[in-house]
Amino acid sequence: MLFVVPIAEKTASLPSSSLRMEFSDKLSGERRDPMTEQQLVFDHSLQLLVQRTGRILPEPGVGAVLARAGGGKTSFLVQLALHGLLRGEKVVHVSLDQPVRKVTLWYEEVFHALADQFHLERANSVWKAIVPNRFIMTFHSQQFSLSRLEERICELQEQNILHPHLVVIDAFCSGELSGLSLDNLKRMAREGRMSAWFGVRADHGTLEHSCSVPEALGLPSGLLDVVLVLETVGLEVVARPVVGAEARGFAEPLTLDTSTLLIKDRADSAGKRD
Amino acid sequence: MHKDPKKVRNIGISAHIDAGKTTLTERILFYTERIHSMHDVKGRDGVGATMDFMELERERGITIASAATYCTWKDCEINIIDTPGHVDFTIEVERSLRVLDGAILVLCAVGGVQSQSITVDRQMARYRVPFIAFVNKCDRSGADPFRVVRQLRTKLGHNAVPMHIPIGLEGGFEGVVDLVRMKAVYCEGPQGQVMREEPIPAALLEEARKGREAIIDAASMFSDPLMEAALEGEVPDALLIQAVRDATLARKMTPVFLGSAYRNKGVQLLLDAVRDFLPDPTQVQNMAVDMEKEEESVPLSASADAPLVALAFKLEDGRYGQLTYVRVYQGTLAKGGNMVNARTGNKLRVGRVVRMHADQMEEIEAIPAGYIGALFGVECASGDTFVAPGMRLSMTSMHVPEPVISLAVSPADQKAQINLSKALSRFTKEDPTFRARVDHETGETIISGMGELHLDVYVERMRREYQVHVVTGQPQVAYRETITSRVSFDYIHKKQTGGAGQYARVGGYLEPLDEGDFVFDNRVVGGAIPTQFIPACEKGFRSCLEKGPLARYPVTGVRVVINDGQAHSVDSSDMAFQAAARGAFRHVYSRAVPVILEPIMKVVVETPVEYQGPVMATLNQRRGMIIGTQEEADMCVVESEVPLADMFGYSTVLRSATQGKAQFTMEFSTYRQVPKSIEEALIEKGRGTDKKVA
Repeated sequence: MLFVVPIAEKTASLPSSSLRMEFSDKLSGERRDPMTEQQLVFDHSLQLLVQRTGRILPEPGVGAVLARAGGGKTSFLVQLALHGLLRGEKVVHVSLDQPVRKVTLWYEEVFHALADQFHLERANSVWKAIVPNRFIMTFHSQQFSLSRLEERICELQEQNILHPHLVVIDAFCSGELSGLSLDNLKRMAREGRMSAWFGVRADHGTLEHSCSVPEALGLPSGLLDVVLVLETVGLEVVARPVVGAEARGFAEPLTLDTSTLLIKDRADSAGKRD
Repeated sequence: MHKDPKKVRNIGISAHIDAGKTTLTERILFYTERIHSMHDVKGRDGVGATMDFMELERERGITIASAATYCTWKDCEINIIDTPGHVDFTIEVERSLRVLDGAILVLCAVGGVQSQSITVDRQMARYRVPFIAFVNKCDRSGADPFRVVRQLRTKLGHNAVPMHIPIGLEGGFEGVVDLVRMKAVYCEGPQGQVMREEPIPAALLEEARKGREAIIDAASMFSDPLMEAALEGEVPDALLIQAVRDATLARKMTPVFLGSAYRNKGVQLLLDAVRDFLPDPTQVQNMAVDMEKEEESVPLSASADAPLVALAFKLEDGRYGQLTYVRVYQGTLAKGGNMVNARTGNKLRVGRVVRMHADQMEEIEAIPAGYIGALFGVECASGDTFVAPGMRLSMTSMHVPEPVISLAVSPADQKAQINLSKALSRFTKEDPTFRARVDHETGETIISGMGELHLDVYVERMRREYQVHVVTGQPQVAYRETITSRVSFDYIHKKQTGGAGQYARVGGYLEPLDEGDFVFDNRVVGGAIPTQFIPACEKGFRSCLEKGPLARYPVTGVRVVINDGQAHSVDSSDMAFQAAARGAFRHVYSRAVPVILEPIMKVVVETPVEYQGPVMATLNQRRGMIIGTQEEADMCVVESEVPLADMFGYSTVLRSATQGKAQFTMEFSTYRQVPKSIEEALIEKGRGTDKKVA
C-alpha cells in the first residue's frame, strides 16, 4: 500500500523536529519539482519500519550488533544507517579496512533493494536528498582508535561539514573490543547527543554465551544499551536482543530476509506467520 | 616485423599521474636496445624521455599525447603505447586501450591505488583488456608493495597475486625474488643491465615458499592440470606460467610484479612477464558489427590473409600531412592497396605505411593483422573503420566523454585569425574531447575540453605550433538546462501578411527524459499532420535545444511527443511546421519547470593526515559534498563531489592550505541541479547577454 505523506505531516510525526526540518527543507528547497516540493510518496510500512528501528536505541545510546563473519552485520548496519537518513538524521559510517567506494556500493545496493521492496516512488530523488547527510570514514583497523574517530568527528563539526546524529562502525573483531575503551564511545554519544551502533565479528564461542555477551566480550555491563545477535532461525535471520530487549523497537521480533538480508516490515512478518 | 603473431604483444602502459609510466617505457626501450641511452622525464639533462617528444611534454614533465613505439624482447615483438596519466587527457588512454591486447598497470609503491588508477582500471574493464600490475618506486621512502597488493584486492576487486617479493625496501631495495623460478634476481651495473641470479637469501626463503604456494593456490582455481600437479607436490614452472597466463587472459587474476624503474630494477623481469602473461593478437577475440545485418556481431580472425578490417584510432597532423594511427584486426593493410572507409563509403588507396617510434617513423610495406601502424594521406576521422572493398563491417566506437569546461579565445590580429582556424581544425580532428565553435550571438570562438590543463595545453600549442597569440576569457562551465515537469502544448502558427500564408498546428507534450539528451516521439494518427511535415516538426524542436529560453544554455533531457496537429492544404509547409514546433516549445517551456544543471566533478585529494581538516574545509567552502575519507598510514584520501564552477584555481588554494603536501585529481562525475541562488544569477547573466546582443 502506498501512503502519501506530506512533508510537514511526516516531519511532525518524528521526534527532534529541528533536524527533521533541515531534512524537509533540503527536500523542498533544492527541488522545484511540484511532486516532491509538497510531498514524498512513501510506503507506509517503510515509514513505520524506519521509525521502529529508530526507537531501538535511546538517544544518546550505544548498541552492538553481533554476528559471525558473513552473518549480515554490514547489511544490517547499513540499513540502520539508511533508516536514520530516511528519518532525516545525519550519519557517519565508519568502516574498518574497506575502501570508501565499497561502502558506497553497499549503501547504493541496500537502498535500491529497499526502494524495490517498498515500491519507493522517485527513489532517485530520495537518494539524492539523503546522500549529502552521510559521511563515510574508513580506517586501517590497526590504526583505528576511538580517540582518532572523536578527533575526526570534531573536525567535521568544527568545519560545519556534518553534525552526526548517528555513528555506525563496521566492524570490530570480538577480541579487539576490550582494548578499545568503549566507554569513550559512550561518552562521545552522550556529549554529542547521538546514537552509535557498532558491529562485532563474533566467534562461535561468544555467540554461544550470548546470554552474557558483554561479559563474554570483556565489556562491563551497563556500557551497551542494546546488543543484538544476528542468528539464523529456520528460514529467517533474527536480530535477537540479548541486552535491552525492553526497547520499544522490539515489541515484535526484528527479522531479516535470508536472501536479501533486508529487515522485514511488520506486515510482511505477520503475513508469513499467518 | 614478426611473421608469427603468437610472438607479438600489443600493450599499453597506464597509471595515475607520476606513477612512472614514461620512465618505465624509457627503461623498456633501453633494455630492448631500441634506444642507447636513458633520459629523465623532467628533462633535467636537457634531452627528456623518448616518448615525451613534444616540447611541452618535456617542459612540464607530463605526457600529453599517447605515443607508440615497438621493441623486441628475447623472441617477442612488443608494440607499446605510453599514455598520459592526467585525467584531462583521458581520451588518449581510452583510445589506446580500445586497440590494445594487454596492459601494464603501473602503481606507485608509496601512493598505491590512486584515483586515476581506478579510472584506468574502469577503462580496462570497459574494453576487457587483460593486464599485469607493476608496483614501481619500491626504493622510495614509505614503499609498501604488499599494501598496494591489498589495495588492488579491496579497492579494485582484483584477484591480485604477487609474483615477486622484494629484497629490501626503500633505500635498501636491492632486487626481487622471482616466485615462479624461486631465484633472487639483482639488476646491477650502472644502468641495471646486468642481471645476476642467486639462490634466495635464507631470511626470505620461508616467505618465498609461502608466496609461491599462494600463486599455485590462486592459479590452480583456473587450471586442472596445475591442481593435479599441486596435489602430487611437483609443479613445473612452465605449467605454473601457463596457468597464470590463462587466468590473466580471462581477467580472473592479476599478477603483480615489483621494481623501481628509476633505479633500473625489475624492468627486465617485467618484460619477461609481458611475454609470458599478456595475450598475443590471436588470443583476443575482436568483434566487428555487420552494417548489412542490423549490426550483428561478427568475430574477426587475426589472420593476415583474411579480408582487411582496421580501425583508425588516432589522428595527428604533422609535417607530411595527416598521420592516421591504425590497428589492423584482420587481413593486411599494404602500401598501394585499396580499402574502403566503412563510415563514408569512400574508396581509398593506401599510400605510405609507417611504424612509429615516438616521433620517428620507419617506412614499411604493410601492416599485417595484429599490428599497430600508421598511414599517410588518408582522409578520415578518429574511430573510422577501414575494410576491404565489398565488406560492410565496422568496429564499435570508443567511449568519448563530453567536455565540461569552455573558454572564449580571441586572436590578437587578423593573421592570427587564419592560423587559429587552422589550429582549431587540426586539434578538434585529433582530439574528440576538444571542441571548438563560434558563438553566433557574441562572435566569440569558444573552445571546450575536459579541464583547465587540457585547454591550457591547447592554448599553448596554438602559440607554439601556429604562432597564434590568443586572448583568453574566464573559463566557463558547461551548464545545461532541463525540464522537470510534463507539460502539454497545442500551438498554432498562422501568418497571412500578403503572399503565401503559413499555417501549422502541433499538439502534444514535453516531459523530462531520464537518460539521453533528446527524444522525439511521433504519435500522430490519422494524418492530422501529414507525414512529410513530421521531420520539420522534429527539426523545429531540435533547433530550440541549442540555447534554452531560461538562461541560454543547451537544453538536454527532453522528450517531445506530438500526438495531434493540423495542416492546411495550401498554407502548410516545412517552414510553417518548424515555426510551429519552435513556438510550441518556447510557449510551454517555462511551465515545464526548467532548471539549470551544472557539472559535478569527482575530486580526490591525497593529503597527509594532519591536513585532513583544512582540506575538507577547502572542499566544503566550494559547495563540495564530501563522500568520505580514507586513512592509511600517514596519508588520507578525501573523496568528494564538487561543482566544477567552484574548482577554478583550486590547486593554488590546496597548495597553500597544505604547504604543498597534498595533491588532487578531478574528473567529471555527473550533472546536478544548481542551487536556487546560483540559478538566479545565471538567469540574470543570460538576460545580460541577450541585452548585449540586442
